[in-house]
Amino acid sequence: MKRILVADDEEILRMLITDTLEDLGHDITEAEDGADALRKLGEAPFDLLVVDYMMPEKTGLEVLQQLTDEQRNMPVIMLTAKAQEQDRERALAAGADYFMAKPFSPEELEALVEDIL
Amino acid sequence: MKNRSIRASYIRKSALFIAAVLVVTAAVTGYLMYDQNQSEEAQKQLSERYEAVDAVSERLNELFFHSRSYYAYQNEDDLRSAQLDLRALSVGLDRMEELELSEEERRFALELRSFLIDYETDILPTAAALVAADDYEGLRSFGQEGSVAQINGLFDQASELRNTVFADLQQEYESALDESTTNLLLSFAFGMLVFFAILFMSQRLLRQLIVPVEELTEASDKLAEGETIDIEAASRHDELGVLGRSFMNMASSLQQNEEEMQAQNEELKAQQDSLQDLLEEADKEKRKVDRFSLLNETMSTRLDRQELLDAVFAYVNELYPSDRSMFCMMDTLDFRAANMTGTMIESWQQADKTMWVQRLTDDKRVIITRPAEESDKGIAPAAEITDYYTAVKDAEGHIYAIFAATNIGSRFSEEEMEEIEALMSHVGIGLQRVLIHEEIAKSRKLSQKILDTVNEGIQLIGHDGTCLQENRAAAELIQGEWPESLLQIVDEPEELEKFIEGMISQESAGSASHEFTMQHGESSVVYSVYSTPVFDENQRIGTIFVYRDRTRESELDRMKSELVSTVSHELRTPLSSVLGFTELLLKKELKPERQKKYITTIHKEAKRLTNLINDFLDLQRMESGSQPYRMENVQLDQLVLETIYQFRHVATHELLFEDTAGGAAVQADGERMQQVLTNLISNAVKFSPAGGKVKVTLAAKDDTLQLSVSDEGLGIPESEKARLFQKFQRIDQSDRRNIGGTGLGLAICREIVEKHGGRISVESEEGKGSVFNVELPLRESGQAVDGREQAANGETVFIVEDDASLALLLSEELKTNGYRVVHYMHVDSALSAMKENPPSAAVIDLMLGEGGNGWDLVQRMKQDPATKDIPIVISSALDEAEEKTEEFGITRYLTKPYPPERLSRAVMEHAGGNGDILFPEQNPPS
Repeated sequence: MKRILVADDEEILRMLITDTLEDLGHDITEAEDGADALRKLGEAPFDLLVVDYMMPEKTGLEVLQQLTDEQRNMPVIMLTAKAQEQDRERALAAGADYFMAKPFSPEELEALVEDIL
Repeated sequence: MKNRSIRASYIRKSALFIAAVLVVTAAVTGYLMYDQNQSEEAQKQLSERYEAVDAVSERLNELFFHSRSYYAYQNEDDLRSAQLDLRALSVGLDRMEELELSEEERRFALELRSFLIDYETDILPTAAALVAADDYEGLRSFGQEGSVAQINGLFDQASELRNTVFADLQQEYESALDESTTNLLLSFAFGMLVFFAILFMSQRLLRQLIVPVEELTEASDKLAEGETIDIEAASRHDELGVLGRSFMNMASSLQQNEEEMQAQNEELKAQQDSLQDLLEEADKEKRKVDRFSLLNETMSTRLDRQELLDAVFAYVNELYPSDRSMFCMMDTLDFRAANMTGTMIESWQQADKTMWVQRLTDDKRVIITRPAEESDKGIAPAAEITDYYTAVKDAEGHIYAIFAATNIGSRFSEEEMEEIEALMSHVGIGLQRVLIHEEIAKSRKLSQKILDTVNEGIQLIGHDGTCLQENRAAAELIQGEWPESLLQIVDEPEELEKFIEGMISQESAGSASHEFTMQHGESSVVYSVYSTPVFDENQRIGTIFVYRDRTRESELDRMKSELVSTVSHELRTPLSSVLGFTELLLKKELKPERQKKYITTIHKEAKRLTNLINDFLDLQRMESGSQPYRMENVQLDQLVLETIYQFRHVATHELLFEDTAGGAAVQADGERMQQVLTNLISNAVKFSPAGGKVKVTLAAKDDTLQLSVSDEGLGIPESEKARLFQKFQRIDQSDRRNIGGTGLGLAICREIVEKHGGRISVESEEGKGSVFNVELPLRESGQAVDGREQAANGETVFIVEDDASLALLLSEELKTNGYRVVHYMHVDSALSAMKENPPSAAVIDLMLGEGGNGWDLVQRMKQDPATKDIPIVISSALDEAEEKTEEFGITRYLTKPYPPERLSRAVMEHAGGNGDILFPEQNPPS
């Protein structure tokens, strides 16, 4: 069982991801925006971060940019509705490891998470 | 007579003069030199004599000295010296005798010589013998004898002689000095003589040349003045003589010529007189030709029709004067007339000229001879009148103009008419030019007008990069020298310059376009310039540049792409949910609760997606202007009530409608207006998650109807207010994140309200709630005044009714009578409002559906002291329930359906009363 932080401002999408990953037997913590995600990341270590690109308060990109050195080793899946190259490059530079474009398939997410962990 | 050249004479005289001077100079010099020599010779002789005498005298002295010494001391050396002196004396004497000597000197020499011989042969040996004998006494006496005296005498003689010679020498020097002074004076005198001789010579020569020249000059002056002349110099045999003679000859031949000329002159004068006449004739012809060429020039250079007509008419009248004349253009009836009355001109202008056109097309002239008419009589009564008509035609024979002339009492000569006709054919060509020019100018003006009317800036640029033509829009854009001025104002001049240069260059073949921006005030303006080469008969004549302001389009492009990206983002989120949960349902074995949860979510998200698409399409339709608005007379209070009644199931919020507008008729599309209301009310409900009051107010103010929807919800942060009515602007804060919405509702509201000529705005305080205000123009002004007055005086009546149409009916009736009406749909909300502000009366429906039971409300009102005195009118479809009526003391019970005025009557009777409950009467009172 791994600890995973799911950060997305859309409650329903959060539910979808949480349900999917919980079925794999992981311990899921939810964050409803960027600031919340950073707060929760600071409270306890996580094995994986699933973060949405477009979020209020702090965007996914800003979250990645503000990670501590220790947190940087954690694998990151970034969800993005805008699959633009430019955004991807910036996210990659900030430390994103994988991308999933919305709408995404829970099965693919499952496979990716299994693969990473 | 033999001529002698002046040059030869001059050379000869000069030579003679120079020779004379040379000879005299040589003679003088020779004399002087001789004289000098003589003097020097004499001096030399004298000095030699002096030296010789001096030497002899010296030696004599020596001798005397030595011999005496010998006598005294008997020194042999002295004797030898005396002997040496003797020999030297002899030599000196020899030398002296070689010289030229005076008598005295000669005598002295002879005397000395004899003494010397004597001394040598006698005295000295005697003395020597005495010495040898040591006879001192003898010696002493010998010395005192005559020899010494003789020596002394000689010695004195020698000294005397030396002095004489010295005196001679001195004298000789002085005389030489005198002589050289004389010689110097002589030389100076000679020099002066030569100078004066030269002066005299040159003066003579000059006189010989100048006098005749002056004479000639004077003569030529005299000749010029016509006087008789005589030149003395003519008798000379040199060049001046020749000159003088030829001058004389010339003068006499001139005189002769002059006389001849005079004769000829008189003859010429006679000829000139006859020529003068011819000249005047020619001059007249020339003037005529000049006048014609002036006319010709006017015709071939001027392009103004009026100017041409003036010139032609003036010319004809000047050269071919007639009693009356006119010139008339056929197309414009431009007219020139001479000696014609206004009536005449008018009648000609109005006359049908078809006949004239016909006749002049066939013939080149028309001549009418007639007796004088009434109109002609003023000029020459009873005379014969000749009218002459001819036409100006183009190459095809089409008539441009008609020329007519009238002579009274005389006819037109054939020659005159032919000249006029020839002139007219010239005029034809000139007129054709003018007409063509007018046509071209007209079409050019039209073209420029078309170009100037076009919004795009258009320019034609020549090969050298200069602007050949531009329209107004281009001039306004560039404002100065092209392309410098343009390059100065654009944001990226290098790129534009490169584009321009590339297009102007001869190699560029096709067309291309370029986009550039510039700052205009505070905003940025986007221009697109399109360029293409222009060809005329395969020859490139330049390059066209067309500038188009694309600011609006480029802004729209930007907005469109932004919108697309926003919409795609908005669509992706619900789609992700729908797809994700569907996949989970399909792929996994799930518990029934979870299945239901997922399906509910899918349904919700699909609905959200549908709303989003609907809203988006609505907005697109509205913005694109393709949304049809069916404007009609709409009672807004009715519309509000109907809309509110749709929300009557909302249990969490207290919905109420306060209507103070007397009349609420607006020109609107009811369906769209309802959309606005629905959006505003549902927003109010959505964004006040904690419940509270949602109040809709309708009031009239001046010419506007003011509708407001207020809530007690989250409120809107100040920073967001400005963007609130824009598309997809949702306030992204965690407390309202889960409130669904498309972000399009308010944009749609604004669009609709503005299409109705109204305004929408918001007032809000974060955490306390928001008020959305909509202002719409009232259909009829004056309504508002009524409403306000009535509302001000009116008392409030609550209507608690769940049937919108009935509530409206009641409300209308009450408002007509000046009441302010507040609608409620729920028992609870009505009761709490009554406690706060007790109304003058309450109209209560018994069957409120979800809102509760009317009897329940009545009961609770009666139990509360604050509300128990409010008169109640029961409005019910049910028959009167007597037991309840009794129980609560109902004032009036109205059974539906009842005429509305019955209600108002009931309310009026009891309003402000003591808590009566009104029952509806079965029948109207009789």
